[in-house]
Amino acid sequence: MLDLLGTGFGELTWGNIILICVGLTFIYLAITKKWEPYVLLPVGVGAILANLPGTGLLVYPSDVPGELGAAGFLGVFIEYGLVRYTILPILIFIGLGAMTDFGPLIANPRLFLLGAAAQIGIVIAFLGALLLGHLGLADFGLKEAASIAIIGGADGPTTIFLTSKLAPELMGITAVTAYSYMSLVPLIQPPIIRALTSKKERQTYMRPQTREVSKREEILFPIICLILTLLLVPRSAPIVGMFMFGNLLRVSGVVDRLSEAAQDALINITTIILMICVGARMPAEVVLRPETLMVLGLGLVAFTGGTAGGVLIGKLMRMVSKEPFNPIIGAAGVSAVPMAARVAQRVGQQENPRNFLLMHAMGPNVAGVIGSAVIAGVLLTFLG
Amino acid sequence: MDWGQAATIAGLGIGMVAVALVLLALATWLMGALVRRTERRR
Repeated sequence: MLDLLGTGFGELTWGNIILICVGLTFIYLAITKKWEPYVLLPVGVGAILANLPGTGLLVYPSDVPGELGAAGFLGVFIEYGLVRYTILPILIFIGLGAMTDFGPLIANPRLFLLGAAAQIGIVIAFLGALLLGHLGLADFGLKEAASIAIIGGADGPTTIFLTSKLAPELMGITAVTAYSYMSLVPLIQPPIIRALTSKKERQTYMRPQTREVSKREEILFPIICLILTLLLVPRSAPIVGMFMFGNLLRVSGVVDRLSEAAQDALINITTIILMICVGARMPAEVVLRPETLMVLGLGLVAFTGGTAGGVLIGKLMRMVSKEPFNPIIGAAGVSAVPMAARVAQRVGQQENPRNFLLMHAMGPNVAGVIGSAVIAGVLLTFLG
Repeated sequence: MDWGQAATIAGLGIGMVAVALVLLALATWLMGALVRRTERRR
């Protein structure tokens, strides 16, 4: 009877109901707990929309070729904005570049090493996912393993970009996992930092940033970074290219309106569409599988491995550095800008109230963004 | 599962990141030194 009236009640499954509850939980967490609200609110709505039967919102243009108006608007955004052309995460990178200050990294380029070290978590999770696939516990091949591992880059748009290219069916769960762990960085990182460092190391006082960075350096940096990185890893071009372009808009000082648009309107509009699409990639039949729990577990492994890698190389740098060097800032190499840098600041100040590590930690933090973009480019080169 | 291919991808992945970021560090340091030298001369 309900079906005859064209309602969705008849087609509603238990899986749909569970995912609608998950969507409602996301909205609750966003509004009442202020937990990644810019992500979880639209993702929650997307998850609800994707699990309400009979709406037609997720009919993809390629499913109804030639039938004008038959595709759903979410289907159009997902197919053209993510799966086929990955335009949406690329636009986000223009905005992120325009919001990024490379000053601490330019003033102290050796901090690049910490950004590289923290990418080890991606490699560990990649091999872990393949092992689960090999043992028959999950249906993970090379592409799926790469898409899961990139969660360790702690960079939501990079995760969405790579997963849309390699394993689009996993995009909803990998993106939500990445953003969830990014918001949990204040809980995940401090125990790892404390386990790997001594009290004396954590108390180390680092002198404030040693020098001012000139305008000329700020302008030359994104140009050099863009050319060198893309010569080495051409497939990282969409991410690194747009990230550096966005930064050049900011530092050039001659296109203020474009810079403001990238930091404000562009990133906000793109975030709305991107996140609702991410939520819409969470239909019950994809999410309610044992593999989802494994993705969550591997994401945590990737974050833990990345944090540990950054801190351990930080300890090594402390040994060879002439200046006092606090290894805590290595943890910020996992990206998660600026949350991981704030964690380094907070842990450092708890140990020594004189410590002010925020600007030091911003160096590895932004180096980590470049590092995860490079590794995404390498994965695309081999698997894309 | 081709573990040889997996190991190659994993090794090249972290290797390329290390090479890329070390090169960027050197290029940034060199750029900084040159710019400061030029600005000092002025």
